Parts: sequence; structure tokens; C-alpha cells
Amino acid sequence: MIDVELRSITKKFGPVVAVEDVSLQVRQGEFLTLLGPSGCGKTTTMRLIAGLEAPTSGEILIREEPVTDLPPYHRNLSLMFQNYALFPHKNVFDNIAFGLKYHKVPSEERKQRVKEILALVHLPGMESRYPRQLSGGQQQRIALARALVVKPAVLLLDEPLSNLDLKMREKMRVELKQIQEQVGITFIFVTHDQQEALMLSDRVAVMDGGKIVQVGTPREVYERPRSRFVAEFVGQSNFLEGHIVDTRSSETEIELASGLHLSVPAAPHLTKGSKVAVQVRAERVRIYPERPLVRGQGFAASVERMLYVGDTIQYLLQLESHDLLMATCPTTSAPPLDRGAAVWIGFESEDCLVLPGDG
Amino acid sequence: MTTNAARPSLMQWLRGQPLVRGVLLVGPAAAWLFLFLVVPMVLVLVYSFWTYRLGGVMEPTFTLENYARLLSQPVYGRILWHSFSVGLQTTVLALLLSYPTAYYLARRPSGSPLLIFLILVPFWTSYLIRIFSWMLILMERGVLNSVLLGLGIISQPVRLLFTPLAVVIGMTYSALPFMILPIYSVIRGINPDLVQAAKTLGANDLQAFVEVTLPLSMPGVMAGSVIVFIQGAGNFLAPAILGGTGADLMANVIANRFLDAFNWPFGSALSIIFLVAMMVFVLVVRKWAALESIYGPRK
Repeated sequence: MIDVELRSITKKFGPVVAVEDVSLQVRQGEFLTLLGPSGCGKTTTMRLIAGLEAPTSGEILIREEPVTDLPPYHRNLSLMFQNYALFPHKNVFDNIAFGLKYHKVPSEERKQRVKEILALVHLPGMESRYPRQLSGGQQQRIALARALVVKPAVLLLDEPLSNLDLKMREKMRVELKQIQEQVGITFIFVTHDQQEALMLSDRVAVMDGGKIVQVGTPREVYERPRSRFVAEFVGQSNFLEGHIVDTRSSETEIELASGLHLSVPAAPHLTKGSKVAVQVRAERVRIYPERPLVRGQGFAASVERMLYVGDTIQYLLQLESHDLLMATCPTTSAPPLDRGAAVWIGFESEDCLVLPGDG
Repeated sequence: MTTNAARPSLMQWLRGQPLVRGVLLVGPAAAWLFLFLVVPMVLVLVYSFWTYRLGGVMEPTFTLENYARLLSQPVYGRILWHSFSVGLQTTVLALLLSYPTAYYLARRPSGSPLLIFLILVPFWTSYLIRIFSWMLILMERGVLNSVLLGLGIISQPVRLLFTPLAVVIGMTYSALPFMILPIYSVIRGINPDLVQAAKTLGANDLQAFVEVTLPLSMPGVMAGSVIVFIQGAGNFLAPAILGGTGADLMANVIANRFLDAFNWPFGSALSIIFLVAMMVFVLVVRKWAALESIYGPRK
């Protein structure tokens, strides 16, 4: 069953097109993330689903019922705001029971449901506290409880983790996913944090310039980005620009601007002479002390810069052709390489993804 | 070179002297208030216990006579009640007119600097002139009566000027900015997401307003109401000019005792009683409204 469906939604603010011809289907119980940089239209898309904005054109359906003209309070959904938007003048009980009251739940049942939902978010017995007496993480859970307690068809979450510090965010990610699996409600999650999107989602919809540029599972989006934008936005990659010089049956040969030649898996949709960008993920670039005996490409290089991250080390490497490559290596007991160290780098043909060039 | 070197060291020295810093920053204003507010108030308090002799002479002999007379004559109680009543009427009317305006201005996406500016334009003219212009509007052949007659709504000119209603109308007019601005700034500070959260949780527009915006705007309502009430109940010009005889408020009676009867001790006693009554009233209302606790107890 499809819980949320967008049919060619467009939203203009005056001359500015915030969302352009967006179509999307979200399945029941799915955790779908709208991922993109700020200004890409992800928050507007969410607000359109919530009914806080009206689309300029297009249609929105929730549980197969058209809701485009319905106000937010008739849409059977909840929204969790980035700043939590807890009512500061109401205590935890009244915050959570707010939705129940307007969903005509009898007073006795309200108490029971608030109690249950507080247990679900691991804050039992907090009914009489006020928001300002709670920590950021607690406020966040109360906001989640308030949104979930009305048992909506869909829960919309607007960057709910971005106001938490790193440790708390990592903890809440795990909790959020568990709670979503427990309650089985469809989640539409808005974020600019690609790591968050990959960790939590069943599917990710990457947005850019008001459009959805790719929808897929985290693996699809990460490993088979359909455009340079997606490849660049998700993860850390090298992009080597060049053109196709040979298309044999199994492999395609590309000449980079620097004159370097690369062999990559066949790219049948591209013809000889096409401008392309070859994507190589930083973590797929390996560093060897000597010329490697591997399939694929091996090049002599020197270390330009080293960033010690902790669990990984990032190297910026310069090839003899003067191309620069980023490599992310797991930290080992061996000391990091110094600047200027002469090394060999290699990556397999399969780790190269050919994307259409910019122009 | 020496001055360059000396300056930072003076500032550094000041940084380590919170008391000196405090005195330098607050001192001038505090001294001003002390000289021109606290000292006169103390004098008024002292005079209120002095003895009045016929012919406007004050004798520094302690007496409770002024207070005794004041409390024994019911007319002063009536005047005090009348002052409070006019102050409250002005406050309620100004609140009813101001709240929707303030709400509208605050909820415009870009704020409303131009419209706010227009609200303040009347302050460019003196209060006296503005009250006099209300005479022109309210008098028997004034603007308002002419319009109502011309439209056939009334057949006889209505007596408006020199009535308690005229006083309330004039004071309400001048109270509007003092009511609109605090409410505007408080509503402007309410996170719009709160209203939207209420709507996504099932409340319609009116319910969301009553549950969220209205209670959260109360600090602004309270601030505006206290200012307007104090200004209204203690007003001198509007009742003097628009009220005619018999519409006197406390301030007019006090002025009369000082300036016409030359009875400074009695005028002082009236002032003190009025001040105390106003303070008690405002404090009781504030306590009752308990605005500090709308966000719950402190951590």
C-alpha cells in the first residue's frame, strides 16, 4: 500500500521555483529520507505533504485519498520540527495529550496513551515536567512522543537530529530507527546529513534544485549514483575528468585531461569522444609501498597532505601526471605516511564509475 | 605613545573592578532618578504628615489629620474608584483594539517596520494638542456629530464632550501605541512552528490561536495593560480637557488641592494614598496573572 503519493508537485514562491515537478511514492511502513543541501526544496516538499504550504500545481495523496486541499489537521499525519516546537507553556503531559484531545480521545484513555508513549521513548514518569526543565535530547524524545501518540499514517521529521551534539545524535539515530520499526509508521525524514540518510533509510530521495534527482536504497544511491551531483553529495569521491578514447566490448578506455589513461567498466550509453567524469571513492583508493600487482590501475604518486581523522587517515596524493587524488585509509599500527613520501596507488576498474561530463 | 600605552591599562584596570564599572555605568541615571524622583517623593511623604493652616501655610508639625480627613470623607473613595474604573475601561478598550492590530502586524512575514513607524507618528505632536483635537471631534457641532447627522444616523447632536466617555475615548486613542507595541513584539517572538505544530496535531486555526498564541502573548498583554492602566488612572490632561466638571480623576483632584486650595499637606496625603493604591492594585494583578510561571517552575 502506498501511504504518501506526490504527483507532479510544483511549488513557486513568487518567481522562485522551490519544488519542481516532484513525483514520489512512499510505501506503508517505509523510512524514506529526502536528502539534499540547504535550499534544494526538501523542507518545502515536506511542508507541502504536511499541508503547511499549498502546491502551485500537482496532487498529494495520503493513503490513496487526495488531500491537496485539506488543511494540516485533516491529513492524518504528524510533524516533528527541527527545533521540536514543544509548547513551552504546557507540561509534558499536555504537550503529548494535545493531539489526543483534538482527535477526540476520551480523557481516561489519554492518560494511558501518554504513559505508554513515554515508556516507548524511555522517559516514563515525566508527565509534569515543563519543556524548559528538559535537556535537548529529552525534548527531542517528547517531540517524537507527541507526534507518534496520535498514531498518524505518516510521520514527517524535519532535520530532527541536527540540534543535538554528536554523541547524542548517534544515540538518537539508533533509537529513532528502533522506534520506527516498533511502531511501523511511515517516516519521511528530511536531512542534509548523508550519513544519517544512509544509516536510517529504507530508501533515499536525493534532491537538488527543487527536483528529485535519484531515488533508491542507500546502497543504490551510494554505489550507483546517477549523476555527478549525487556522487558528489553522498560520500567522498575523486572526480577525474576526461573523454572516451576507446570502447571495447568489456572495458572502456578514457583519457584524462592530464594525458593519463584509465580503463573502466564498459559504459554502453556513452560513445567515443564523450566528455566524462570518472568517480573513484576515496575509500577505494589503496596505497602501496611498491608497484602493486593488481588488476586495474596502478600509479606512482607522492603524498601532498595528510589528515589524521582517528579511525581513518585521509591522504591527498599527487600522481606523476599532476592529477590529485583523495584516499581514505583505515588507521593501522604503522605510522602515517609523511608529506612527500613516494608511494604507489591503485584501484580496481570496478571501483570506477563513469558519469556524464559537465559540458 | 604614552597615551596609547595608558589607555589599555585603564580599561584593563576597569575590567578587574566590577564595582567601579557598575557605578560608572549606572551611576548617572541613578543619580538623576534619585534627585528628581526619590527626593520629591520623600518630600511629598514628609509634607503629608505636616499641618495645614488656613491661607496656604504649611507647618512642620506632625499630624495624621490629613489622612484621617481623607479616609473619613467618602468622596475621595469615589474619586479613587472612578479613576480606577476609567483606567480599566481605557485598558480594556485599548486591548480590544490593539490585539488584532498587533497580531496582524506581527504575523506579516517581513515584520512591519513602516506600519509600526506610522503607529508612532502621533508622538510627533504634543499630547496636549492631540487631546485638544479630540475636542474638535467630540463637541456638539464637531466632526463626529456632523458626520452622524449627515448620514441620518442621529437626528439630534449627541452630547459627547465633557462626559466620562469622552475621557475614555481620548485616553484610549493615546494608549494604542503603548498597547500595540509590547503585544506586537511578544507575538513576533513566538515561534511560528508552535502554531503549525498545533495544526498538524489536529487543532484548527482558532483552536491553535487559543491554545498557543494567546497564552504565549500574555506577557505582552500584561506589559501593555499595566502601562495603559497607570497612564489612564493617573491621567490629568484628558479628564481636565475632555471631561468637563465632575469628571475629575485623582490627578485633577490632587492638582486642585496643590494649586487652587494651596493645601499641600492634604494634596500630598492624597498623592501617597493614590500611589499606594495603584501599586497594590498592579502588584495584585501581576501576582494573580502569575506570568512568570507560564513556562513552569525553574529547573
